[in-house]
Amino acid sequence: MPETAQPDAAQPDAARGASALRTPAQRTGAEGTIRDDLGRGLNLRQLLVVVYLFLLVGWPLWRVVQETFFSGENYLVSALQDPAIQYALQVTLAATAWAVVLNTVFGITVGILLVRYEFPGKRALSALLDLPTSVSPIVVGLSLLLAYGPIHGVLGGPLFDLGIRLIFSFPGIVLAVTFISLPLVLRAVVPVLQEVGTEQEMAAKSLGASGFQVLRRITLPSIRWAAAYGIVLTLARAVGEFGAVVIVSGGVVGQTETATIAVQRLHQGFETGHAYAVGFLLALIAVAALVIVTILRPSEKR
Amino acid sequence: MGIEIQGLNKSYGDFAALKDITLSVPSGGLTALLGPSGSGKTTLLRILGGQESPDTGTVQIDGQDVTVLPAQKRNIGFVFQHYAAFKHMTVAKNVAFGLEIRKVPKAQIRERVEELLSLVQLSQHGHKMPSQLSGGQRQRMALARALAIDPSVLLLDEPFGALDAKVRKELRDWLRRLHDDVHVTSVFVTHDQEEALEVADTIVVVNEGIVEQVGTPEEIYDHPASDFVFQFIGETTQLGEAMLRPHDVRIVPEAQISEASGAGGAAGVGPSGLGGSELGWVHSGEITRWNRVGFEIRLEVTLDATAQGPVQPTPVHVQLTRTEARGLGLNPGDRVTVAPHPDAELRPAHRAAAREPALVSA
Repeated sequence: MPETAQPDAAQPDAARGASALRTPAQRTGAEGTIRDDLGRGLNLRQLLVVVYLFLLVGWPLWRVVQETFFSGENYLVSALQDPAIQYALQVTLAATAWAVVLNTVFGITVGILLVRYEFPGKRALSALLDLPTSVSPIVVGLSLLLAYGPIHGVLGGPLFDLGIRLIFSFPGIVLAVTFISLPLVLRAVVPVLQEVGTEQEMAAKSLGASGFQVLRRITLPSIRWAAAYGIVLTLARAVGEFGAVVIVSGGVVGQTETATIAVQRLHQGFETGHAYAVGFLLALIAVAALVIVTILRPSEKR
Repeated sequence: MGIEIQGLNKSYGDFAALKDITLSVPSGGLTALLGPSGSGKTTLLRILGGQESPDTGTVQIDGQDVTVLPAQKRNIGFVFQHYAAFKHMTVAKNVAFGLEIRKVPKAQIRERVEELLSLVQLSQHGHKMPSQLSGGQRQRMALARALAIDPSVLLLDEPFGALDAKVRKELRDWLRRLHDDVHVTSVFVTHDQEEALEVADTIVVVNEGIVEQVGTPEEIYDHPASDFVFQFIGETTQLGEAMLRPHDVRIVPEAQISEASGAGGAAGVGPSGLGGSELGWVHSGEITRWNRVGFEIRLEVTLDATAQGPVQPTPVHVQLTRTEARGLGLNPGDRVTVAPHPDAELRPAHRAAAREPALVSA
């Protein structure tokens, strides 16, 4: 091939005019231009996406970072020294932990139920499970208030008489964030359970594994990354929840105030620097969780 | 000993998947459950494996009634069509699974896993994940995993179904040789006649929920117990009033017959070149299709019509090797005489015979 290609390359015009047969060198040249054209189109589209994301997400979030760190003083440090803010962050993290635990157990259990078993009302249940994330959080807050509130609450009233306070206290906050993030683990787990199928489980059974051993050694490991992704989504959702929580918590500073409610209070109270600092922390937690899962995942798959 | 199945019935709603199956599978053999899809062969295997339970009937393995015993207590090795590899475990861990469940000491597990991996020629791959193996390797891993628990019975559900033709053939040979070494009572499901004929010691032909025939590959092929087995186990063609295998049709160019008998064989009665054939079976016709597949030549011979109309609605299919065809000097479009081979398994062509008068009257 090089022998024929070289003379052609020496007299490219003659070769091009002479015949439809093209040397490899010329062909790559032509394909190269096409690829360049495609590349330009791709670059333009990439640029559009980047600009769009920057204007919508990146730049506004960057403004929060700027306000936190570069507008006179480092507000993050001073915010973290404020006991009320410390307390609000603790409340948020504790409620989030509860929501993650409850929704993970619930999501995996119901996920297995939905995928592996047939029962009447399965489709209705499946549709109903999406309700918590689709209803406006503020409606969730109001409905919880009506059900568990100390005065009007159907269950809340009698419980209040027994000395158990759900609404306007920590349990109410847990209820709200758990409600709001209910199906996130479930929805992450279900498609993977469907894809994995039952063959591995049957194989494990034929090798002598009991139902529990199958669950622990086969089913759970095969959905662990889906579950981790669902947990990250749950965590992000629970950390950032405001609408439902603001109604059921009462937002008493140092008692039932969560981080998001603190952000609103600080912002309205002209402590904007601290508001941005707490906001930055909330965003950081969510981003960090996403990044950790993204980094861990491919190395595990390989 | 082996597997004893008594009066097994299984229905899914109105559909009877298995109808009163009674069968005994000999110990130590390699038995094929052969049948078309929907014949009930997989249901039967799954009942043996404990993944389905029969409506009525009993299953005994080595003298023990296991009908109601759950899968995990049967000590059965099961190999799935799509490998069912534990994707999150290494190959060695996959093989070790059954032993770990049985709480076998670690050192012993390691030893046994190594032994099994070398048996299935995967010694170099123990540390890999199943996704890094080819289909054939994965299926060998699945086999090692099933053998690890020293199963009393090994069940294989279309074990080569998901593999490409070449690997399938290699793995078949390999399974046959492996079984000659290991001697575990094995039952495999297949819809591939060639696979069953090639690998199995015993073939159980299943159709529409009943056992049509049980026998060695030779018995099944040479002496089919029913028309279904005859048609299912190999190719068939119609020649006059008989059904037979395409390779059991003898074919002679008409020119050669004329030479041999001296007179013209144009009337379609020229038996002299086709010794041993009964007079009525001999027909003449023309080669209307010529299909060369590797070493084999597949012909279609359209028979000459008689005064009463065509002899049969479809042409006669003939199979012969390239060498045979050359020896006879056959070429596409030749006029030929065809007759059954003297040793051919012949069956009356009921349906064709019944249809013919109707065609004529219409």
